[in-house]
Amino acid sequence: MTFARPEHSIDTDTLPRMPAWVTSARAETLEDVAFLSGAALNHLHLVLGRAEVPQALFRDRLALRAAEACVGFSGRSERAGELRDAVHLLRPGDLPGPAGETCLAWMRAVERPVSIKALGRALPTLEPGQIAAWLDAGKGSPVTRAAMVLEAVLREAPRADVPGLILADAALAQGLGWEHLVPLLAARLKRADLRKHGDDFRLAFHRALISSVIEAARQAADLARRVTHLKAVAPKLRAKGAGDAVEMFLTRDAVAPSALPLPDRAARRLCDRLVDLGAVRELTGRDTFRLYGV
Amino acid sequence: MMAKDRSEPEFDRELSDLPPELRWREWMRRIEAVLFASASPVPREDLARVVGQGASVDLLVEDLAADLEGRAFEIAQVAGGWMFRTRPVYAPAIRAAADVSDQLLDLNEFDVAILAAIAYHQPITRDGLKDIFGKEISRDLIGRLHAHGLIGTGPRAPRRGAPYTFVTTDAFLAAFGLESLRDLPDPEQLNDAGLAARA
Repeated sequence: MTFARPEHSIDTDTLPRMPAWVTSARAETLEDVAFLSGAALNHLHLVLGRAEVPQALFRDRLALRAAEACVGFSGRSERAGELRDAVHLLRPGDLPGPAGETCLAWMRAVERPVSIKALGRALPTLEPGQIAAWLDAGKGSPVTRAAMVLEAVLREAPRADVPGLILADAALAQGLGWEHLVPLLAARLKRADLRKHGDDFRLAFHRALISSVIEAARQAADLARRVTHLKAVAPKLRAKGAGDAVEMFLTRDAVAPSALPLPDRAARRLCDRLVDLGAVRELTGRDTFRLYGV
Repeated sequence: MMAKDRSEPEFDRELSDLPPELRWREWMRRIEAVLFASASPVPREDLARVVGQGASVDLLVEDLAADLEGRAFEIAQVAGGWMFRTRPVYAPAIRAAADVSDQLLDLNEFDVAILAAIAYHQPITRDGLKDIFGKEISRDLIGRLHAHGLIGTGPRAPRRGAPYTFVTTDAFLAAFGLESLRDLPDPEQLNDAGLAARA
């Protein structure tokens, strides 16, 4: 059996790499972590400016990771796979449950350009005035501003870590001039970090951001490589509706065959074919209710 | 009798003709009235509509709560809003006085155990509950919890037949006086104390 080997066919060096002095630095002082988080963010800024990076897919996957972290903060044990299931197996009229709710909040938060309205859609229990006030609670450089937003939310509503982290990421995106929210903070913050104050909090905040941004840049490069391969094999697919199906895979973390614009059997066959071509992966490890993604 | 003018006068939120002290008291009374009239928790944005623009609902509620010191009822923060609630010490008196239609009173101990299992393990299927309790959970029991509005259907389980899962609702939080699911006792602590048998 022959499998496509994307690694050899695509030049992975087209995306700039994060400098080693960022990835391997051990910073202890506030001054050093602030410098490194700025350097890392600037690098990510350049990576995200590249056309090869599938922006929506990248954000969707980071949203899932952020949701997983937040579910953990709330003392629940669901992992990414269970969150995906909760979102993809939800039928109209059913309740998402606590973990599904957190996951939907993040996925909605990254879907549309940052605005009070879009954030209100992600956080329906908050009133727009409250969202606007919290989003504006910081000043200074983008990272400082985001940290102040999170601090303000947690000071006024100690359990609101999901809104706090979403709004802090939104403030960060605004500060960096990004159109969309990119979930970066939740993934590497620890539960205990959310209870810290002052310089301890800032230190933890920068540190979480540094390692999260390094990881995000790696993931962006990885996804760029994978979607380049998916686009390369797309012309081989002859099924009707294959083009629209590929478009869905290019923008979403996971897709259920039943969600594809093809008849059921054709959709399943297309997914199998894409797996054979090494263009998508089956994400659940199950025989039924499968989900596929790049 | 004269026909009533149908167009209601514009509701005056700001009360700008009152001196600040009286205005604040009037806003407190409005919040009190709204909470008194509502059987379910009232969210902040609803309360914000009856007081002046920019007046802090939280501070008004705080002042109102302070006023209620020494009364048999209190303001409780529940499921993202506020509601009036009799203080727990008066529960026996209320039960002795009347056959109260409290939504929890006609649930038996086993019903409540199932409800607790759903709260901790949601989303969970009937089969999942069976695994925890070692016996079939009747549709009746699930139906009873559902009829009380304490549980709802969640995402389907990725299993043969895509069975329904069950999740708790905001009414569940209100009935047990929880602000969010995080107020459930920590399952690990319950375990350590030997109070919970985890599946």
